Amino acid sequence: MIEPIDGPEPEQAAVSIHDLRVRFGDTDVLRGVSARFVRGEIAVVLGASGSGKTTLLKHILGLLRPQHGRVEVLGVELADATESELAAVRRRMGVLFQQGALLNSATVFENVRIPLEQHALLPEAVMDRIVRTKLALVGLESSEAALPSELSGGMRKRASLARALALDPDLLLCDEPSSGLDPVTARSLDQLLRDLQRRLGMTMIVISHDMAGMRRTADRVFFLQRGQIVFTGTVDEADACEVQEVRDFLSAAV
Amino acid sequence: MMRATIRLSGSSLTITGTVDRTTVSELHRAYRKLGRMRVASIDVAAVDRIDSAGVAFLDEIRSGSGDPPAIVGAKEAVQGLIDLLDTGSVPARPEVAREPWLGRLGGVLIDGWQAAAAQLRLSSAIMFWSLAAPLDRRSRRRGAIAAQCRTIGSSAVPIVGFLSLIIGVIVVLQAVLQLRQFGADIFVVDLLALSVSREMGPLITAIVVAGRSGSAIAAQIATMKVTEELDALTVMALDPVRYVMVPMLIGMLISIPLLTALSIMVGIVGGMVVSAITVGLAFETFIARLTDVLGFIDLFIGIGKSFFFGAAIVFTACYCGMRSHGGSEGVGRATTQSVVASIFAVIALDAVFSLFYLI
Ligand SMILES: Nc1ncnc2c1ncn2[C@@H]1O[C@H](COP(=O)(O)OP(=O)(O)O)[C@@H](O)[C@H]1O
Ligand SMILES: [Mg+2]
Repeated sequence: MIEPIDGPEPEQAAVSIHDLRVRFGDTDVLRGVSARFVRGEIAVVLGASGSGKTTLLKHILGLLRPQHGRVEVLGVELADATESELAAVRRRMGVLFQQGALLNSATVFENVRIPLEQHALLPEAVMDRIVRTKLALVGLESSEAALPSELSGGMRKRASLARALALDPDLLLCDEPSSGLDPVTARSLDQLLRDLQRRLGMTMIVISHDMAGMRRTADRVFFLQRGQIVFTGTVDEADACEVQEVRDFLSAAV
Repeated sequence: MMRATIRLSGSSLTITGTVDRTTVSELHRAYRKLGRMRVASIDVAAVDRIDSAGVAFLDEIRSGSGDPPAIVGAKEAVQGLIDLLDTGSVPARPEVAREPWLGRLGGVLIDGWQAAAAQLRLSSAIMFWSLAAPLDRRSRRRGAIAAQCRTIGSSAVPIVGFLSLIIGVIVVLQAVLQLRQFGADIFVVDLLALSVSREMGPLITAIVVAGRSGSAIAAQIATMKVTEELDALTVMALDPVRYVMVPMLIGMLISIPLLTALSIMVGIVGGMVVSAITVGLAFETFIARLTDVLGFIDLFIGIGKSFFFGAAIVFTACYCGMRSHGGSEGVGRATTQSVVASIFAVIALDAVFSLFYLI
């Protein structure tokens, strides 16, 4: 059984990546990425589309094994983890995929219930209640009987977030949570992420190119540019940063 | 030492320890053992950790006892999570009223009627634009018909050929066993030629094509439907019927008669070889008999039927594809439906044609 982390322990890395290099065919997608994501923090990874953000995320999830370099997640080195170690780490992670990735054949309610049924031994009534709570958190309580194909893109994303939160993960990874959402929903989603992080001590890695959302949520910003981290720091430091790409990115959003 | 405990003192329920998804099961069992009682308050002062499962458990207790009891003494972190996850306002699933049986039956009939009408409308649109195709070259992509002929026709040659060969062999083997008893070996030619050209050839070909190409057509159209490609075409002022489906029908109507002709030919050749081996029927004798019994009318019937089979397959597949909904799941469903329905349609059509022979 995995012991839950008792509160945030500052400066301990939830995820640490060292010199990660990835090639697809003859394009270098990641060219020596090193980063430490601290426990209990909301880290926002910024970068233009195609800069390798999703690829980085897939390495943290262990969906791709590092071709070169090390990826350590919640104290487990993924490069030489066995399938069962990997599964144990994954039970402590929640993921919000870019397109939602809900199971199409199941209702929203069932989608959120799946991780609970599979990984927690709980009374049925308690599981149902957890599902309803998580759906209420993301504002989907009235759509629980709908199939994913009957939802709009933004609703699908919120349902996916509810599923990612089902097991109170220690580490929540979000791939562009607010893209495709209206500004009001995006703002309440950011607020929700902040609340969850504060109340549950969750670590979050959020991939985004939504500047407003980044300003609302980020404790620390990582800037990925052509396969390399060209900047790391707080939001204020990013504003004061001299790196040209970061300046371009921030000023384009104004 | 238990990581969490629950006990009742008077009307106050006291919970201690870690209330999370690893302990809730146990707590729930202990709570049920306490039996039915009135709880006025829940004391959680000694709870040092809680998660969603814990909060859900508290809610479960509170909703179980008439007047929701108050939660008292929560530490700040615990209270924070309880506030965040408060499910008090979460509505239960609404009951769906069932319609009476007559209403349901009516609904089924109306749905069936509407489906038939929609099927008919789509089929006639495809038919119309296929007939108009020579005058309407601009509304489809160049080479679209040739591409369909390749996927429906050329690439099905090996499987159709091989299956027909086997069918020819089987027919002869079966027939020879019976006919030999009467010394009527030569009639094996009659039996083979007629059954293969009128029934087996067209039917086997149509079933293979329904499985291979009907499913492919349904899957393609369903995918285009669920990914909104069809809408995109419409918005670009391109008619999906003319742009996507007409080439499919024309490709089918070119391919399936050729495949059927191939099937008949290979089936007869296979049978000829087997009858030479089993009853020593010389090739010359076989061919002489064949030209006597196999008339133009038999080939006309066999190959003529295949046009109808092919059209039925395309209409069914297009309809199933168009009707699909619900993401990738829907594509799978449409494909399966299309194969089942088009094989059914082929066999039903064949039965109808058999009635004509009686006249
Ligand atoms: N499986 C793959 N095979 C080949 N190239 C890939 C693959 N996955 C991603 N890429 C390439 O890697 C680059 C980065 O992709 P991705 O990580 O999805 O970018 P982002 O999420 O930042 O938009 C892109 O140029 C993409 O074409
Ligand atoms: Mg991406």
